[in-house]
Amino acid sequence: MQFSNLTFLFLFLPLVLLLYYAVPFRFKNLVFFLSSLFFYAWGEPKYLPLLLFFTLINYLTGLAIAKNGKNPKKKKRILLVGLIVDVGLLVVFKYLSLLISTTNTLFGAGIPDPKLSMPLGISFYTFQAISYLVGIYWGKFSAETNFLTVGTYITAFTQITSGPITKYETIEPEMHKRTINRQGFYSGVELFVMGLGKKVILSNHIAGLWATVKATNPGEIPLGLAWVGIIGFAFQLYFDFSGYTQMAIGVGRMLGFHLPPNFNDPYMSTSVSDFWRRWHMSLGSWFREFIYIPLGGNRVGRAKNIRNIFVVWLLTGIWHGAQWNFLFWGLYFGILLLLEKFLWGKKVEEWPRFLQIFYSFFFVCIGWVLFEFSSPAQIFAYLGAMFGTSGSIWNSFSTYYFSMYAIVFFLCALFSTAYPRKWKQTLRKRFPTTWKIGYPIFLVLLFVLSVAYLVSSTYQPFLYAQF
Amino acid sequence: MRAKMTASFLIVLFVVGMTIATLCLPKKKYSQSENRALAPFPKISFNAVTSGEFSRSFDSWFTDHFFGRDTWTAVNGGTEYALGKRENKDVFICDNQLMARLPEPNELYVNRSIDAMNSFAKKNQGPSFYAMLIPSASEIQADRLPKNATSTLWSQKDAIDGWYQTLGENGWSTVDAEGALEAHKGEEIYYHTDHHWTSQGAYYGYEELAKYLNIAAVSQSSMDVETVSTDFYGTLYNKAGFRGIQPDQIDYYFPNGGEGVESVTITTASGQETYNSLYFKEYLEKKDQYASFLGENRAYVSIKTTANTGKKILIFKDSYANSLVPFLTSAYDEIDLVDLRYVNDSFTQQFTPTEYDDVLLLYSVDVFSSGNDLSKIDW
Repeated sequence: MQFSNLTFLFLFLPLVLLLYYAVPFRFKNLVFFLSSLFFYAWGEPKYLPLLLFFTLINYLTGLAIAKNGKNPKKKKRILLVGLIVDVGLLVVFKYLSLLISTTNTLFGAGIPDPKLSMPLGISFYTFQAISYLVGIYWGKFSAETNFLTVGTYITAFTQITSGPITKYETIEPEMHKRTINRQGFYSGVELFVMGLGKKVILSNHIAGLWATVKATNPGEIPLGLAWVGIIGFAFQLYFDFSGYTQMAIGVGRMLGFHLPPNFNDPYMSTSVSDFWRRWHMSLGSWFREFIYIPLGGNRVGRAKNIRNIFVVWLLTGIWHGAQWNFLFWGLYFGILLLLEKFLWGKKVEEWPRFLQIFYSFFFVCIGWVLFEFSSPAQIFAYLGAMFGTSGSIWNSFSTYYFSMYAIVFFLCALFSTAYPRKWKQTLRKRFPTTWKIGYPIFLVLLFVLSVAYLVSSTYQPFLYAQF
Repeated sequence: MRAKMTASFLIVLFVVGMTIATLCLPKKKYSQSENRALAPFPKISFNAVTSGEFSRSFDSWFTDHFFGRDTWTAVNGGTEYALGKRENKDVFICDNQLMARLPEPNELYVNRSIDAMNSFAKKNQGPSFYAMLIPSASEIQADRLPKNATSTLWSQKDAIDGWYQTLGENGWSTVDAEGALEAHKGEEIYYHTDHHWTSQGAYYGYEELAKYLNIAAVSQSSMDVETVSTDFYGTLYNKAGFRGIQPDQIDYYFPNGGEGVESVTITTASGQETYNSLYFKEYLEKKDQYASFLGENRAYVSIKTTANTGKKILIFKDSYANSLVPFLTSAYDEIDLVDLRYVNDSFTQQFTPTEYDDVLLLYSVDVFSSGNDLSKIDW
């Protein structure tokens, strides 16, 4: 199931909330856990046993680490076993096909590919589970003796499909005790509807622009359209992902949780390093805590520091999908971050802000080309178009397609900045009456238009009389 | 907090209301506006549930039967239009008119069709051969398209010129339908909600065709015109999902005071049926009102007229011909139609080409440039 799905919006969520609010607190985790299993099974029934097995293993490993708290060697071995199982499952289900096909291509080996489909959310729940085990190992919190608590945390339908990757330490207190009140519900509805609007009204609409540009032969895309296209893709991706995690955070609020924020106006970043502090923040924070710092971070010699940066960025890249271009994409950012760190970062800091934003967005957009196209030939062809290989800057073809998306494009640009939030605050303070009437209307309209879009998604007129 | 509270209250009310309405109100099995059966409630079985089939089908069922579905799609179409979208599912949304975007011609199919036509003309010496390709509205009325849309289209005129050249060298007289329609592009020669030409458009096609067939075109002013429908919403209207377009009007033109038809015999796999009219008015009550011209597309239609000219014509056609054929009834005693898309054998089992005075191929550019059936002409 997805949040942007009518079954979720009109049946699943209302029923879950009703039940969740109705039962006494000690049963709330149970309701949450069972509804998460239902949610998961709805989209991926065949991998439900895997998820349960995975949860059980991590629950038991957590207990075992805690039990051997006084024996560092044994404790470490148990953690290692747990991590090997977690990472092993991720590798098998997510990367096995890639590894086999690459080995076959490179060495002509005829290893058969079992073609396992990737279990929904495995990249997210694996990372959450690791944060649980390592946290116990580091003594940040004690192992949970109640299976339900671990189960609820790992399978939580709020973040299982797209995050935010919530480290156990940030949510541990609320797993046991949380305030569930009307304020939380109202804020949750607000966050959810804004997130839904971002995904459905902005992302799903701007997606048409990129679909058109991407379908055009790169040799014929004028420079301007190539940029408009990739910026369209940048918007599509951002509003899809940030909208989705905002919905997750919203549902979390309704249930009494405070999930970590995942995006902070990433396209307003003033440098590439700044971008990664604002884009998919929960992932960056996870890599920092569980890979970068344990490797020594930047408290080591320059050579080791550089190695650490590359390790983190190669992993970040390949985390995004089992295709080699994601590795290049990670490498690309690793190199840029090094260059910023050691070469031109200080210079950029002296630039005026608009130039910094431009600089950062420029490199992020180049990055999206590596992210979106899977083969080097496609990547270079499109990059070529962005630097004028078609020999033209703009044409009427470009005007036609751009004009169809211009309004959404500018809305996307506007909502990439902090202005709408600022205007919202001003409006609320200066014109409280207008606010009280206007804001609910805005939210309801957003919700209603999103629903209209979702209902229409199965609009498939059967065309009689095909001539 | 007050504002959020109000919003939450309204949204909860909306959600609960819609859910109850969706679940409790009686369900339609069929969508008139989409012309398809709506998803049935899925069967529950162990296999269906564990394979994910059940949940997928349930989602479609819930969405298909969502309360006020047609209104929602209309709201969404309006939103997209307001956001600047002027094209949806390959349909251009012009001012109160919809037009189809034709896919790029399938060169392989087109070459195969032309080869077959040329070979066919060579094998069947005797009759005169005429080819008439009718461009779509987006070519003729390009000035009505959304701004700059033309730059994204291929030229049907250039394509026709190329095809005609080869056909012309191989015994086919080629009819300049494009020029004839171009001369009247300001008039309503295409439906606004459907991809076909109107009877008016078909008349201009006939007028031009008559010059080639060497028959006297009946003047429009001497014909009776009957408006049989003013509420026709065609295929483009359904496809685009945009509701802000007025319905079309369908006119029947009667040359010589009446249809001039003795019998209309339709042959299908299940047998033969004979009628006494070119028009099937029952379709005016259905969704696809254009089908009231000669009924649905059929493999073979044989028309006997009261013209008494001693001439026979064989027409290979798509549905564009259905509204042009009525004009030909005064020129031929017998008009035989073959729709190769519905023919699975050689059509010669039904009609013998050499017995005709004229053989006409009448296709829309749309079908001609993308269809694979025309090669059957040479089977």
